[in-house]
Amino acid sequence: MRADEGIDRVVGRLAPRVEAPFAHDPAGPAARELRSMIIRQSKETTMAGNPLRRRSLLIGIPVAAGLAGAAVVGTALVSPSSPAGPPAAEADVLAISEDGGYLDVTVNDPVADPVEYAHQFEEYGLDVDLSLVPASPTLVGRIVMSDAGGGIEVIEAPGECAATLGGCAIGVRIPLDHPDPVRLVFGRAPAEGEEYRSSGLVTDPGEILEDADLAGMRVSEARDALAERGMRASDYRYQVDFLTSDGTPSGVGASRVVAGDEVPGDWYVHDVVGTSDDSVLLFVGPGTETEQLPCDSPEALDAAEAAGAPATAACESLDTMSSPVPGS
Amino acid sequence: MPRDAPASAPEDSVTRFEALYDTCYGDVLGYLLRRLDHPEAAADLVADVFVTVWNRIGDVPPAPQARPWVFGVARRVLANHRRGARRGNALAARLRLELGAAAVSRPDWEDQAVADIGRVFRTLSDKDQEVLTLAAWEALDPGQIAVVLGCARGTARVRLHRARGRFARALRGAGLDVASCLPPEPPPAARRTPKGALR
Repeated sequence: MRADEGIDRVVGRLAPRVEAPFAHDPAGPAARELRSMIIRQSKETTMAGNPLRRRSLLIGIPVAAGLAGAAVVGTALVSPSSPAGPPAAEADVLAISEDGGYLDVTVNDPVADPVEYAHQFEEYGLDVDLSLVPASPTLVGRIVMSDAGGGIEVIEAPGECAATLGGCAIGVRIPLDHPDPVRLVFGRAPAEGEEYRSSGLVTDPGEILEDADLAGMRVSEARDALAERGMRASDYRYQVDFLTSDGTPSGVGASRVVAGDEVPGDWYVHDVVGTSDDSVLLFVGPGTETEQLPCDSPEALDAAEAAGAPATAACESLDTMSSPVPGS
Repeated sequence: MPRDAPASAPEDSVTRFEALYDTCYGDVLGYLLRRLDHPEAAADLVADVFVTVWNRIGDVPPAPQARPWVFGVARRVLANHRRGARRGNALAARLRLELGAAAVSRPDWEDQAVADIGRVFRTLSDKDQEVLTLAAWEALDPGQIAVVLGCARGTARVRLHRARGRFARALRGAGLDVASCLPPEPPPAARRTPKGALR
């Protein structure tokens, strides 16, 4: 044993030293946020699959990553129907190439319809369902969702990628022996006035509000800032986070749609999501921070109902929504 | 007619996940940071690790094996990453910013004696290097290493034993020996506190 310990101490001398003040602390702000977002993410996935979900505004990238305690909009984003895009172009929509046991798939022309490519995947014995959805600028030609049961790899854009929220993945590498069905969704340029189905961080370079961070503004200021840019708020959502029965944050929240004329100008903007080239969804609330409510409060019941959960027992239904996705 | 309680109630899952996260987060992040060139990449990978843990919370073994099981997830996430799967986990954006300020320093870049040891170490197979660093950097015992690698306890013990033997022989072959390579001052409880792990 002494010899073993000696060897271990020699190997230990090679250990890289990590100096990061907060990095190792699970109670640090970013780590704490990640913990609650992981739990919340699965709730959103569950919600997105709920047929009672009232509105099909589906956002590819969880928008909360950029700011503490804000709303996450659905991570699973598309309905099974094909997107109504412009007709197929002459040029190859996809670049599909075989490379050492892998099939690399990237998008050349993010405007055309890739339906005709299904048979190409079949030739490789792969079951790939690929679709395109209208997306905000930084997600055009980028992967906005992939579901393959694990085992596929992401191809990133060469060089530096400025996008904050995942908008760097330009393709996937699928092992040729991949056993499971692969579902890929790429972002494409929207048609005139078409709503996004997937949206990057609205203040990222190249995005529709790259020059204006509305979060933290009063609603009236945000409306003015949008009007100056020929834009508008298409939707408003009022987000609340729920406390468990013992009063601790549950990591679970919900948002409900609020009509624009019901949102006072002196409310605050908590988060902004692009909904089309000239419109945004504003997450708003009466205070500067997202409201934290007990899960049995009337507001929580309302929000649970608005999110499609039975309103009879908000705590119970929210617990159900926050459970892991079955089978994953 | 009474209904059976679910095997794992949702609130238990949340509690279990949070406890596991709080227990393992620092160690897993340290594990990743010590094995990655870019600290920011660790943010994406640590998010991937815990998303997987959460999605498989029902599969996590009981307490003594839970922590090495999480290391096993981290190991697979790291392996995928090394196969070229650089991906941005959207959940990790904020953590990535924080880790941008992290500094990882490699003793074998700074100290000639350690550099010599490192050169010999890198002549070992990846498998030997892995099992040695799991023992020496993460302070895992053979039983825990078996859980990380998904192999039998006896197999892990034999692999670790052989890897130590091969490293000792390789050092001798390079004109070094274990005694002369020991750290100048043995840090107290070095096996319990891997370098860089702050908790």
